[in-house]
Amino acid sequence: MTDSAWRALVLTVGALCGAATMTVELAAVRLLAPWFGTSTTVWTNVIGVILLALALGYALGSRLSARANPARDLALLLAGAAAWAAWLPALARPLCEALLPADLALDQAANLTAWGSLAATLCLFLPPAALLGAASPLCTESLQRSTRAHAGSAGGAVMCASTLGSLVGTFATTHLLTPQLGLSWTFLVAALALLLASLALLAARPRGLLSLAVLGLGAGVAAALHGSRLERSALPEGVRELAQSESSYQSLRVVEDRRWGEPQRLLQVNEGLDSFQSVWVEREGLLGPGFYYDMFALPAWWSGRAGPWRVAVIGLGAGTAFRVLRGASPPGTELELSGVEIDPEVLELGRRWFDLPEGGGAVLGGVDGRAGLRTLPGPFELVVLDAYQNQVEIPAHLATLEALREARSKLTEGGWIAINVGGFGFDDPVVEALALTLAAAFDGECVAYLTPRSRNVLLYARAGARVPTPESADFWFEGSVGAALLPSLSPRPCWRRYACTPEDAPLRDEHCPIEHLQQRSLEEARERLARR
Amino acid sequence: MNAWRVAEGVLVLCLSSAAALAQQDPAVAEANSAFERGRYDLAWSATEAIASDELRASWRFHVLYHSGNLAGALEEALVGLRAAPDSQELLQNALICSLTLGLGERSAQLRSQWRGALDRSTLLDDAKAGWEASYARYAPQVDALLERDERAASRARGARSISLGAAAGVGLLALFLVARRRAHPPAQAAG
Repeated sequence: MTDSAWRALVLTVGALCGAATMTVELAAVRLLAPWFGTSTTVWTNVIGVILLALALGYALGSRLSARANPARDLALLLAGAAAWAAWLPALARPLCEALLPADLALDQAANLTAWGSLAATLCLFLPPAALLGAASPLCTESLQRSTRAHAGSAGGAVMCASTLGSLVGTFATTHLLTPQLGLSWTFLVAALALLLASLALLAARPRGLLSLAVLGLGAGVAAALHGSRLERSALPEGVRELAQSESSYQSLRVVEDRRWGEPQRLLQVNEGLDSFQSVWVEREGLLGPGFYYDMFALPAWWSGRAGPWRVAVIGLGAGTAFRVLRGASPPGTELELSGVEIDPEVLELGRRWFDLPEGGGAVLGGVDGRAGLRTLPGPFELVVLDAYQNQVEIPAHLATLEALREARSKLTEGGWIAINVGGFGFDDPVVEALALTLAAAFDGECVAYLTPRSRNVLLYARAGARVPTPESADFWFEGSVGAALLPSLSPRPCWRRYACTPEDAPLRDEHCPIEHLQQRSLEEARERLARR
Repeated sequence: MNAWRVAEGVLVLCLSSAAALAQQDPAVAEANSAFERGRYDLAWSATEAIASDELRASWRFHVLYHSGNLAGALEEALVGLRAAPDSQELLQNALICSLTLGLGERSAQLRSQWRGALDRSTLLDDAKAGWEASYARYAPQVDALLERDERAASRARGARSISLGAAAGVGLLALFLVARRRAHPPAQAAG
């Protein structure tokens, strides 16, 4: 092989290693998501472990580069990384289930999420990432020896190839591999690329024993093509899977639950813990106790007037809010429903399995909530904020004073905003921070209602008007919707009026520690309940 | 949500017993009337005038329980138990709430308190047998909850040990590899 051909091969290997490293890192979070979610904590653990592994790999590579034949060591390491990466989908479930018992609720799992995801990441992803980290020094050494280049020149070329490979790996994983091939095949493709690189090195510089070792590891990759798959969690009796897919944002699964009589369809995101994103029952209208969506119907009744009722739902999901509003709005209401959903795949599933209705307004898919609300043509009588990321966190940029002022600017005079907040009562740090921020954006006050039989709190505020409370006559209205919803909201411990004072510091774009508050909320939830 | 559905049937029984007591206190009658009309807010307000601490806590529990505010209902049951520590009804209701909320230690404490109250009870045999049956139904669930809590704590300890051990080991190994003097000079043969 000529020097220039060898140089091209080594740089290609460097690029493949960079791509595979990013594929493993990005797909790692998705692989862990069914057990640990995709919170910032999990992301931090994965990034931290990959950095630690790369540090170890660089150190290992620096030692091996002093040996007689760095290309031989490189081929072996790449084959080892390929074999490990190929079996990751099969290894994930047994390890994660051993670390996280299956029957825990979200608050009970909070502590385990942090340490469990760290331990799982170390066990699963540190070895292949370390082997890949060793590739850069070995590529550099091989290049320098064969071309007699300066160390800086060889190292710079390898780093450039590796970084470009990482770039390709990053975009390909998010936009091509995971959505098109699924999670298991994403790892298998990365493994095949690494095995190919290893075999190419072997072909260029054949060695007897080394060939056997690489071929043995290659057989491990081949076996993984048949046997290494991420097994989905088993569904309980009475629950069946209707559809599942991998979007650019998350793993999605539609299940039908027939255990409670009337069939319900649920959209599960990352299968995470006990949460779901959307729910469907055959008839439109109220879903019943435990479902916060019903609370979105109240503002139209409280407003007490017929005619146009334009609604924008930020975080539309599969359209549950639309169906509740269509079935539970006051007679004479002319609904015009608009929505924004960041994940277009969720809208697709909504149309197929959740009867996502055409609401008469615009439905934007693939658009962030704040940008989407800015784009939607207003004004609206009601803006519903029901957006979540990482399963449990309200996106920080939607929870700030500036974002809520933008939402207010989209409302008619007397228009409403309703925010769904996951939290454990009125003392919950997330509920308190968001309520005070909402109050600051809406004339200094808002009202919070506990959603019956759930851990959700609904925050309401109005542009230039007061939100009714059970102490005022305009809270009560006749009819089945009122009878179903109002009694449960009315006892004094079930609602709270928040008024912000100049001393309160609302969440702002400049400083919005909502993820930290969310973590505190989960960690302290059991303690707060037990303290009562 | 599943746990909610399990607990729901039992509380109906307790409400009927509380309704029977409505005849003894006008405030109870007022609370009961408002509750029946779906005016839980007025029912809640009416409880303030109930003279008996136990009865007041019992009614407040029912109002909040039927409002879907389980944490609040548990709090009221515990308030009532401070005044009437041997109240079978409050003990049962508090235990059901605690179990549903997944509070292991609190459930164990309530179970123990309930067992003591049953042992000291001077109720007639039929009534006592009814509470014993209820106790027998819920007491084992406490063990399951404690077991689950212990399992979670044990896994958390294990995960922490793995994480700290592995991270420290890998970091030290990397430092060792970098710091160790090379045994051989760099080879010059073609790569």
